[in-house]
Amino acid sequence: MKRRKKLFLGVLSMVFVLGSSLVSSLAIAEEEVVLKIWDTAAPLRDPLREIIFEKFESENPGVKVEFEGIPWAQYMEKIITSIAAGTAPDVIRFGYAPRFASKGMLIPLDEYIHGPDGVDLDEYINGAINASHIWDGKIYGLPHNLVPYGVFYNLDILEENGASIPQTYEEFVDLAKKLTKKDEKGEFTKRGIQISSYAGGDVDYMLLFLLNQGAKDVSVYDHSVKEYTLNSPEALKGLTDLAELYKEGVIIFAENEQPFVTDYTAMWVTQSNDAFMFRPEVYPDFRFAFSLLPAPEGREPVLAGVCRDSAFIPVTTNKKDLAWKLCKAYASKEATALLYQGKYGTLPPFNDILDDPPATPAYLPYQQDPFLRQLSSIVTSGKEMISPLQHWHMDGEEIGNILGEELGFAVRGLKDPQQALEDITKRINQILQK
Amino acid sequence: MKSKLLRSEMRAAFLFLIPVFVLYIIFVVSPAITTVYLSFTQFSGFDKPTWIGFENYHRVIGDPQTQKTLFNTLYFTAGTVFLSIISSLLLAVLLNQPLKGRALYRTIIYLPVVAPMLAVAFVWKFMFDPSPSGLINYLASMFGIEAKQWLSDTRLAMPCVILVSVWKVLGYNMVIFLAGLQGIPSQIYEAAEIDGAGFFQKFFNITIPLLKPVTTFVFITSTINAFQAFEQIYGMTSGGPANSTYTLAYLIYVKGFRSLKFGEASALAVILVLVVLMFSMFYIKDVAKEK
Repeated sequence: MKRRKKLFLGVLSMVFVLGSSLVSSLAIAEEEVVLKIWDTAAPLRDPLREIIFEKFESENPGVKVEFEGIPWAQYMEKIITSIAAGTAPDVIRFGYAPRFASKGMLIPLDEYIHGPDGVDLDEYINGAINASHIWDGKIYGLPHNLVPYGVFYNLDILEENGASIPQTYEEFVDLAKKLTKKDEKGEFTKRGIQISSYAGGDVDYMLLFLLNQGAKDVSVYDHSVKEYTLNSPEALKGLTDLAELYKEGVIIFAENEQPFVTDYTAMWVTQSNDAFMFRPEVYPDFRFAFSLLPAPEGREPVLAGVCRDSAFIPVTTNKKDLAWKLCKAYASKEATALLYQGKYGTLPPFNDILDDPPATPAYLPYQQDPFLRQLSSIVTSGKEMISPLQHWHMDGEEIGNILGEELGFAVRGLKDPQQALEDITKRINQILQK
Repeated sequence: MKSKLLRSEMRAAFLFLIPVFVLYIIFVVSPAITTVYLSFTQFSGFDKPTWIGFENYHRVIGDPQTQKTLFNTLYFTAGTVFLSIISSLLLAVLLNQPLKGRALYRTIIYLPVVAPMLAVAFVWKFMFDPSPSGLINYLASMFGIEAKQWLSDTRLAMPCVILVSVWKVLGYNMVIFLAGLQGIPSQIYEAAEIDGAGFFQKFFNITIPLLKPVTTFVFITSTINAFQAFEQIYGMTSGGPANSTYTLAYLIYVKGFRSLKFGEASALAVILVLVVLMFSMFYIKDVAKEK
């Protein structure tokens, strides 16, 4: 009897404890709205993000922001599976918005952008919105950063050889050949150009040589595009030049900064945020400069790059209005200036921050760092930034693969350049026209 | 009485096995059936699957990329399987001898097996740096070999990936062969020695034939693993340069999780299973015939 009484009291107290915590958590849930946001975890949660979220919470009482940093390698899979399972956060910062939007996974933001609490699209760098945030005529993401393609120059190697930064494509090629050297055994001791090949990115930089000659990959930058137009005399010139330079040993492909910082390669064709690999904290004595890939005499250099990352809202959210506020806050000028000042060479996508940075701590690097000043002046020049088709089309992955394969074989002398261009056009048109 | 006891024991065994069966059905059988179903649908991972019959199969089989990827996969599998069998067998024979420090050598050779493949891939990628100061190029220069663009050369990238895969699995296959070697009665070797057989005669006429079941096992498991190779491609080359290291497993991942075409990815997965089954059945039938 005594034992039964003890058991009864034990069960009763457990029910009481569980019940009261359930009631109190329900009460908390009723008082506070939690907004979840995901971003890549580099670093996982740093003070900059804390500043942004604290400000948002103080401006929106009763709202709590829960941030989760997801490792880059798992990010795409996690987004897809969470949206499918209905467990996605309210805001996601990632790229490939058109790919998700074309499958109905995202909320179009036009109504919010043009609404009373909207954003001024004219504040963005020319071409930023088209670059990778539109599908079917609707905007699905707010641009979060931009990264132009260009050339880094190893200033020590240039000075040793009495050379300066080339102003035209012809000077660039001549300089690359001059800076390619062999020893008495005929082995290369220096190479003129290194092209980035990290994670298949070489396709972007090989394509840059073709676009810089005046070739165009498509004639319209919207999802209705049905014709790939790269097969042209200009593209053939660019591709043939690349193949010849590769054959002469002037060009190598490399995954990282090692050949460049160890003075093996003089010039590195890549995207501006690869400067993160040799930033002053890591290589304090390394001297470099950056420019767009010089254009042929009489032409302007092409401003090509990626403006792929967006803050977007999955369809699974049930707090659309609040999610929009957080999306806007996370993609705001202040937020992007704070987030990207630590990612050397990645820029916020706004004209005024880059043109004339405000004199506040968030924008200090954009005022003071010579490299960031130079980069800013390039992207605010008024040129429209071109983002190649594979970065904004829903079938971008297949398109990128075709380009990588055909251009890769042509540059390495394993396929005739004209045949490669014809096959690229044929294969990509099959995708665009299906 | 006896049959009552037997029934009771069987009931207990069945009850113990039920949780395993349930987990097997949930995590193995069910996804496999779903994959086959999805291979006949158009599915982005988010919307409802739409039945389209054999369209995915027509599309992937007719796609030049699939054909190239299948070739790459066969190339990778042949290279990895044969090199790993030959090298691990030779190492096992060597480390089955009464050598000083044998246990230490076996441990060192086994160590790569326990390292995560992705971490291994990233380290080797760094070692294959194309500049003369890259570790592999530096070591190669000591033998008069010019610096190579290992992972950027379409002819060298796949051999590099094969080398890393063989290195990773060497210890595991060696241990299996060692177990097989230790199962061969020593009297057979003694009898052969009495008859005047040398090392190579013993190796080819005794060791190889008596190791055939073990070799079959290593061949099948290595083939299955090679066909499923993903992490080393993901870590070292991302399928490049110029798609020269694209394998079926990597293509399945890209089709599904990058292109959001789970129907096509599932069709490729079914094709992969059929190819692996074909190889496995062929070899098992051959061994069964011999027995």
